[in-house]
Amino acid sequence: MKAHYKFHVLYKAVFLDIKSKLLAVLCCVGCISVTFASPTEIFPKISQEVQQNITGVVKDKAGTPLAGVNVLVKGEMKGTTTDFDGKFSIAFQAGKTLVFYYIGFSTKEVELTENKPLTIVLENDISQLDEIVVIGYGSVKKSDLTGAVTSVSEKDFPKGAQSSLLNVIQGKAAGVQITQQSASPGGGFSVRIRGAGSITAGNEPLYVIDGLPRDPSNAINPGDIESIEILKDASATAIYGSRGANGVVLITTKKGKEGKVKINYSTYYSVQNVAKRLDLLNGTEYANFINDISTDNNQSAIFTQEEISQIGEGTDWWDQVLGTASVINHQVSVSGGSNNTNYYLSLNHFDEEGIILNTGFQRTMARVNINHESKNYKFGINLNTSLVQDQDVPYGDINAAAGVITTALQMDPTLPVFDENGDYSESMIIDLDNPLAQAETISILARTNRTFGNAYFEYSFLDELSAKINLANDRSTGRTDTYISSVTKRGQASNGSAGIASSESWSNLLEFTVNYNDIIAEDHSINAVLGYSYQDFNNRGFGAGSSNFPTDAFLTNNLGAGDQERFTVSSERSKNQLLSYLGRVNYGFKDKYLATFSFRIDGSSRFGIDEKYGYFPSLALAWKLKNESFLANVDFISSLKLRSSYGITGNQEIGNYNSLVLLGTTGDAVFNGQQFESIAPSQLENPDLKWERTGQLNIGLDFGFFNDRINGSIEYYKKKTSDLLLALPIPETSGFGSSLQNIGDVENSGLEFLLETKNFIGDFNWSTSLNLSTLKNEVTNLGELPLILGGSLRFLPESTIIRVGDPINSFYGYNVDGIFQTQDEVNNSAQPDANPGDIRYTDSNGDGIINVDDRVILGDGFPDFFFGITNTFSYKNLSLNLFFQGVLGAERLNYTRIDTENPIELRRNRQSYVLDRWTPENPSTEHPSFLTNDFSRAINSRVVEDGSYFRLREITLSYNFQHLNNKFINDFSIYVTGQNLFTITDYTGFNPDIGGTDYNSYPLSKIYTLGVNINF
Amino acid sequence: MTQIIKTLSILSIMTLISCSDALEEETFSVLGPTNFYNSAEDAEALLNGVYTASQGYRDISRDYLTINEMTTDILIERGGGINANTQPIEDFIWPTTHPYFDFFWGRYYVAIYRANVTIEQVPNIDMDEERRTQIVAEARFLRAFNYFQLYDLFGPVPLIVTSQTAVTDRPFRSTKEEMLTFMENEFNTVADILPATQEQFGRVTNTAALGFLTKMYLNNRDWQLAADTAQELISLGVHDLFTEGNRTDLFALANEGDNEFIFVAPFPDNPATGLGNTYLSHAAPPGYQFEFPPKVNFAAQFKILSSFIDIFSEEDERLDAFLFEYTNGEGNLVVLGEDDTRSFKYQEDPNGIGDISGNDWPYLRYADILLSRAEALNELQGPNQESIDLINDVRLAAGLMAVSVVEFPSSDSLNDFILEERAKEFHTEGLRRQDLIRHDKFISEAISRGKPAQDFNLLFPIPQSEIDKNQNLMQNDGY
Repeated sequence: MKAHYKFHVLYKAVFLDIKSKLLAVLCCVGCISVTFASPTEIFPKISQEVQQNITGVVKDKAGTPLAGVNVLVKGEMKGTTTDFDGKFSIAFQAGKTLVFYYIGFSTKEVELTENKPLTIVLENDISQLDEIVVIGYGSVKKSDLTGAVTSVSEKDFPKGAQSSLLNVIQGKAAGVQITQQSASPGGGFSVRIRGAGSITAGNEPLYVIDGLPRDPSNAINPGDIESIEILKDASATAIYGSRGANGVVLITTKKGKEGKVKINYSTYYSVQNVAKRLDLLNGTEYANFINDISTDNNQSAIFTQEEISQIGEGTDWWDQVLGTASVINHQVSVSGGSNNTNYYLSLNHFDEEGIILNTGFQRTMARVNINHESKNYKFGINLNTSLVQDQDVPYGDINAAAGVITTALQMDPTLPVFDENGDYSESMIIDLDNPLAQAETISILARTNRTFGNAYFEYSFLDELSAKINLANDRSTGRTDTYISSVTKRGQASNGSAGIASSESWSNLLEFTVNYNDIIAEDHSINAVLGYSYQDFNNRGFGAGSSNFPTDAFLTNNLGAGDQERFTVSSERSKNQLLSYLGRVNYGFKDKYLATFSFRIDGSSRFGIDEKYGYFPSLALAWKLKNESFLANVDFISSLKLRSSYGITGNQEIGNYNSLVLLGTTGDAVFNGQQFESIAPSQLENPDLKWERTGQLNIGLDFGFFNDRINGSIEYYKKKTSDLLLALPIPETSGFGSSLQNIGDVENSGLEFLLETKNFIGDFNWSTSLNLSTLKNEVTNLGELPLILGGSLRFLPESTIIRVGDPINSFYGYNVDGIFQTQDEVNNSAQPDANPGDIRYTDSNGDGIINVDDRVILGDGFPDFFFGITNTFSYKNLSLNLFFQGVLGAERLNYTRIDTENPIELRRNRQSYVLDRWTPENPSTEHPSFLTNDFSRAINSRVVEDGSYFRLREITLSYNFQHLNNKFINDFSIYVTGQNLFTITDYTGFNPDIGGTDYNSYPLSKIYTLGVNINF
Repeated sequence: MTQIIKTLSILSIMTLISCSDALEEETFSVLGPTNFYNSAEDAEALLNGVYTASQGYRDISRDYLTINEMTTDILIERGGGINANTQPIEDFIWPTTHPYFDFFWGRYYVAIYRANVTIEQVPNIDMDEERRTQIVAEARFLRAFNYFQLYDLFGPVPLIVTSQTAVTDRPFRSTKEEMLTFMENEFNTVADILPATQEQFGRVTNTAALGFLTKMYLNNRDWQLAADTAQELISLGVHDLFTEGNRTDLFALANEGDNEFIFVAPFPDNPATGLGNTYLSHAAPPGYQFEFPPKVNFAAQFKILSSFIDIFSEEDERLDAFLFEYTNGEGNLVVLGEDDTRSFKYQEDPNGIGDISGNDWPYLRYADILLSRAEALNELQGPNQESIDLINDVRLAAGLMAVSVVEFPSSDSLNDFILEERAKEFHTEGLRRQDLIRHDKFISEAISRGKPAQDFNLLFPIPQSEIDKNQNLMQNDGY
């Protein structure tokens, strides 16, 4: 009893504390609410009548009193909660209705007629506790889950402008790190589930859409998605065997529900602007700066004072290429069903303009999901078809190949946009194109038509036994048209050049599964699945190019008009196959002990002749502690389950034909000035090439307290990837620089923490969802190699290192120890040739000279810690959603900054912090004099920066108009959303939320959205 | 139960469909060894692969000149992102990780590997016997040529003469004797097989074999063999000096293929397909107006040191290869100042496009053979009339006055004179480093330019990445 009392006190204390903290928040929310609701609704008048209280007790079906049940007067902000004995007392008002809310139970309403003590029995809400979670080749009740699976369902999706399904899960799932290298419209994402285990092979997860293992990329409408399940541990992913090591993202699209036809129309319109610009030198600052550098270097000044006085602000090249852009989304869906057939049909059009001129992304698509079920059989079809258009400008980095972003950062601000003839001006000094000319006259348009879907037929032989055939197909044809007009420097070189690249890919899947489901002797439940799967993947490409056109008018529509001698043509085709056997048994004993055993035998065409098959088993055990008698009476615990799993998964993302000796074309020999094709072996054979294997241990605890008002999970995992598919650098005396070998080990480990709380329930609701993850990545074995350097960019051969004991691709360079202030300091340093004002590097090996051996690890791109916090406040029909996201302890290589620190040419523009450079009069300890370029030490701690950030990713205020007495409209909601409104970070580049190296990345935007959702 | 059996039987049928044939890797755009190494065309294509790896690539001039002239009194580079790579070379502080070392090393061994494949596979192909023998000889020449280059940069290196290489191979360095004997045998053997002229310019001839043998002996100070081999080449009468105009016109596009060239990295007449030489984009000064635009002008600037220009006498036609002033895009005359002269030895290609041109890169010219024999004879006999005659052949071609033997009191004085003649003749062809080393001036001249040069800098380091990968490979002393 004493223990009970303690819990009781704790429980009260927790809630009182939460309540008092909430008060402040409430006030804010209240203020927002005022504009929507009349003040009386928020602060109802206190009745002048003499108050009489009605009392009662709330129990569950078994008669156990329920503590903490919210008892509210309907339509008022008045309420109480039941005490530990389930008792409550509240003012009696005849005719009013009391509402009883309790998580995990159905809400009950009781109209007050007479003041008699009430006994309320709440029924368990099955649908809430036993939410169904989709897993590979089946689904289970959430309470029976043995693996680590994060489920994100439609209600959790953020509401702002989202082009991709990855937008909607970013920051929502513990252990899942999603970054976008380029924030361009339709730009790709990088997804890392529990770190990265591979060096050469892919680290992206496997996507499975309604049973079809294919990455949907941009070809799926987030609005069609019902839920996304992220399978993280080996128990969950081993059923996908060779493709499970990087985690699995299962996408389930919406199905119709029995009932009358539901028509939904939703739309939003967004306006976006650049979230952050880099502060560059303006015209006058630039001219003075260039002069100062020149004169300080004992060279003559470049600009005269008269010239400088006329420059003024000069040209702001960013203003020329940046703009305000819109996003429009329309979606119509029709769904419904009879008792044995359901359907879901939808149309979607999404159109996003980029904030950089002439960039954009459009998607038009349709989806049809139809399912039919009768006594013995089920069948259905899911079909998704889309046309995606992606419009881009050039994005290169260096000199003549530099694209719009690079040139806008580096172009001379004293150059006018147009010359005196009204043509785009061209720099005679700098090897860069006019940014506006590139954006307006170089067009890159990619169009992809893609259709994917599956059809299945399932037959039940017995109640317990059924068999299913699933046939799926994904085919896409894409074409990219590039035209570089002769207006730009790069177009002048070829006098207009046009290219068409077309690609075609198709994949076929045949799957056959048998399912057995039985309860034996009450205590034993068995669910088993056994199956066979075959999938092939085919790619075909064709490209043609032409240049030296008589006019720019043809664009890519008349390649034949170019110079015949300059025609280029190419084509290629490849294919790979997977053949698999899979099985899983879920066994439950007395609803207390659960076990899952799964295996997959995968054969992949990509491996050595005798190594094609890999075996991927997993075992998971779970213990539902709450169902043990010793916890049966511990009321504050509503659920408690301990899980543990271990299993092996694989990775085969290496491209085709890597185990074979191949002979390919290797460039042309030249005789008599003519070219002759050559053929030579292009790789060493490796008949022993085999799977990369990842063994993963997972320990998890799922908990729910106070009838699941507080629930969540804690997970610990340790993944060890071995037999790494590594492009092993080999002695070049062999004739080859590298060979794909199974060498090396990588470990990833971390903790994941998920907490969901219902802080307030009633007319005013406040719920919080918090996910936190830690990550440690470490290379633990590289065979006989001491290290592998990589990350070559902009004439700098390397910026990253892979070596034992450190994370993959850690940033590797010189540590900056300050700025030399005096000649004495120089003389006593390891850099005797330096001058005061130069950067002083750390002589890390203490040998008295600064050379490549002084390079050290400056950081790595893996976060130590990342999190997402969602708070939802609602009052009646009004709700406010705040979604914060953050990363701690990840470094970024700000390569863009190297172009300011060590520009390729003196006359390139730079970021304006250079004005605060060291001079004898301004003995800066922060910035050097910038008088000397030191390219070979450009990778240093000045450009490897802390990429930690905290961002308000999304804030949404919405209002629901429900149960409208309108003939056509059932309900509708209207919302406003702001995305990326603020970011707290020390990072000096555009956006810290990119993976690793940041070089002229497309800037992030702030997006403001107004949306409407109507149900007819 | 029967239902279960039915189900299982369906499952087993499905399983049967899935024999391991389903996992066979089908290739479409590449060849496997079973469908190649069969025909005469295959043999030629294989040999072409050796040529491709041994001869031209777009940055050949940049890389050769960085290694072989920025380390000398001729060339410097300023500006551009490549300064990260050129400055440490000029300053004699090149790290063992310098990307160019690895680049050269890798490139030469790729060529050697492909030569080994050709040498092993072609004899088994059923084809015209004479051509088959010649293909193998061309491949053997190219293999020896790549070892010649490796030896020049790194000293003795692993001698790989088989295509049966494996990931686990960790070869040791060969000895100097093994290296030299191998090259000597190979050049000598193929000189007997290869014709003196080939129908197609760009293919190797027996004069190329004799020419590189001459250079090998010369650089190794085997004076007698150098002089004899040079004479053997000269006696064939296949080559002569270009005298049909201004000396600098030897490098005009119209004169590509002139018989002064013994072995070149040829670039196509029409470089628009992407294969060409980027030299001029590195050499052109800011705002330079090309005669045949559009051409790309890199931020990187290859500049000739003024002290080097000073060694030319005014009447030397070869001064015409330099750009001293130009009119820029704004119409202003720009006079290139101290250490800012440009070498325009390779004349602008009207068909050049963007940053690439069709100018061939010369590996070996007849003038080099003449001056090599002159040098070898001087080393053997001291100042002698034949050496003077050979030198005068080259001087006269350049519009200079002949010199006489009485002007040279000692072997050393003539030696110095030959070295200077070679500098004026072969600048921007990447021979200066080799010449200075042979004359024992590479290090001392670098020191006099203020560089921290040491004796071990005569050789470049084996690329660090290669040392990391092969523990049997010993680094050069000093690195």
